[in-house]
Amino acid sequence: MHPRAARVAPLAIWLAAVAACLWILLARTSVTADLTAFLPRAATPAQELLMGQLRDGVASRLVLIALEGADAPALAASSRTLARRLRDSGAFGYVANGESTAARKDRDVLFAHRYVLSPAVTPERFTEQGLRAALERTLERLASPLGPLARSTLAADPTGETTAALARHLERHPPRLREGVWFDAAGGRALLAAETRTPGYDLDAQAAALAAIESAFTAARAGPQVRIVTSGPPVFAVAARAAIEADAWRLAALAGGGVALILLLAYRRVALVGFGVLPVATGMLAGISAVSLGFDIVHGITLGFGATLIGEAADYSTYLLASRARSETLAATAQRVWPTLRLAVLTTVFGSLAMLASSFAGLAQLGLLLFVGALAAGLVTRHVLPALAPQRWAADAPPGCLSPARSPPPRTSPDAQRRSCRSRSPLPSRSSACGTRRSGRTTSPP
Amino acid sequence: MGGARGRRAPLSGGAAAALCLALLAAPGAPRAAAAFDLERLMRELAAREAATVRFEETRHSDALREPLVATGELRYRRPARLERRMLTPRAERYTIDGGAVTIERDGNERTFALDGLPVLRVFVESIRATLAGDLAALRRHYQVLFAGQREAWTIALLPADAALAEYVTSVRISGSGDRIERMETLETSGDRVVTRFVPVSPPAPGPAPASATGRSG
Repeated sequence: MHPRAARVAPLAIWLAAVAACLWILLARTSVTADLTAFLPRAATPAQELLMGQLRDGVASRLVLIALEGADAPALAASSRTLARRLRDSGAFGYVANGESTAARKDRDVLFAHRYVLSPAVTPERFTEQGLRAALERTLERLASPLGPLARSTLAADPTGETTAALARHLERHPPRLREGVWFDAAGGRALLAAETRTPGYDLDAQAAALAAIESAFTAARAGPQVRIVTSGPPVFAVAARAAIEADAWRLAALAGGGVALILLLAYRRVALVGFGVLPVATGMLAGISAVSLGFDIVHGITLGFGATLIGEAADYSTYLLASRARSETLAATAQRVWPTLRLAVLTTVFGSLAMLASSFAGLAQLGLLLFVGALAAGLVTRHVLPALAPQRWAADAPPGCLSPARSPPPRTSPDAQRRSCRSRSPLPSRSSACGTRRSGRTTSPP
Repeated sequence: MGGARGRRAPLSGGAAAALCLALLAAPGAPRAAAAFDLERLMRELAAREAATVRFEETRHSDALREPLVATGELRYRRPARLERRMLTPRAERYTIDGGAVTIERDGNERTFALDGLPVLRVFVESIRATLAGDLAALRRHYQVLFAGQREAWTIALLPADAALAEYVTSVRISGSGDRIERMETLETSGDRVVTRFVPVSPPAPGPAPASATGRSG
């Protein structure tokens, strides 16, 4: 091939691939933080229900709110206004603070689903005997202080299922009412419960809902002394994520800084550090794009673990750069170390196949990301980095302390290759990597 | 009572008010006896420590072939305890004390918060507040009208809060002196519930033996 074409072709392919990946990333990749992708696939309806509830159940969407710091009338007024604002905001499917308007809505729900919710509904209930007993019970209710309720539902609910469902509902002891709204037992806090419309795993939406509660409260409170306390799974989830994010950023910055520092000490050139990042960055990009194409949505955790696993590809460029001898072009180095590098890439790629076959959606995504990512990083190291390297590097001394390069290595002899690998590996990781491969080869008879 | 069972449309609030005023005016009691008014009646009612009466409650409803009759005993003890012990058609006891209601039936006892069963306030806020002579409580839930004199008085209650107005059009309580004799509730369903009260053995200081055995059973 013409040397110029040999230089341009990989670059053109690489740039086109990166552009395509970027397009996929921006146009069709959606990331979800749903943790349940890493739980086993549900096998029974009960498990399916549990998974659904974990992911998006009422419990995962319920925000508990307490108002405190003022006297009961002020708290009750704040509770009413806050509840109204939250209901009007449309972000909440259900806002309860004990007000009777809301209680009527609850009763309407009980009424609408009376045959499902009533504990009295059994097949026997609708036999002649069962119906007679039920109707007699209804007659007794008409004679009791519950009469007005029994009468108002009589035509639509002659067997009294609404009352039966209501009785069971009431046994769960709702909070005490003061000034017409829920208060805690001590009477110092007005209580509300709000159920977000957005799913429990959508933490951005949950954070937005919590912010909406805060702002509604600021507008609704009866005085500056009224304080708000929120709790519940959405609050925990958002707070936990914030803590994890802060930790992750701090640790990533520390680790990234440490790696950059070591590479900088080794290469003694900022440009080379940036150069070395290209394979792994390309690999990550390609991996995410592949997952995005292969699955509907990309899990946030896949990205997290994927970035960790594919970090191994950061070493590919280090093999290449560290193996370069004085006056050697990077292309020559790449050609020389390719068998070793190829082995490293292929072990990773085949290792990822096991994950790819997993029935856990999250693990399968990880496998695909690693498969495509390691392959892309390897190819970029082999073909793109040499093509990108400025020609003048050939004339330069090999970078940094990694390459004392006592003598230019012969390019053909594998024996010399092994020697050079041993001789210019002052870094522990490099020397161990070389060491394993060397020992692998030396076991074969000469 | 047959005529009362005819199909009726639920009365609107305004119509009910007019009806009550007409009913109140009916006895033709001149307001001359200004000495006895609502406040005075309430003070006299409030002076009683406890009251025990037998009741006979008749529900007239177009949903029923014949009026439904319930009988039993109603016991009130200051400040906020009201016990309604139904004997027929079935033994059942409602005890309302403060904000809690206990329902006892077939040997099972269940206690709820009164707040959870707003419908009970129809019963509680009318008869308990009247027995307690608690005018403020009555006025929290009803518009209160009064007519008559000590020997024959009538209080008309028109629901002022939405939870009660959902079930009740009007309540009319009549009595003599510090005794309540009759209560008539007009429900939004069109049903009319008439309760007659008859005093049990004059001043009952403690729980009557009959009810004591009833309680243990």
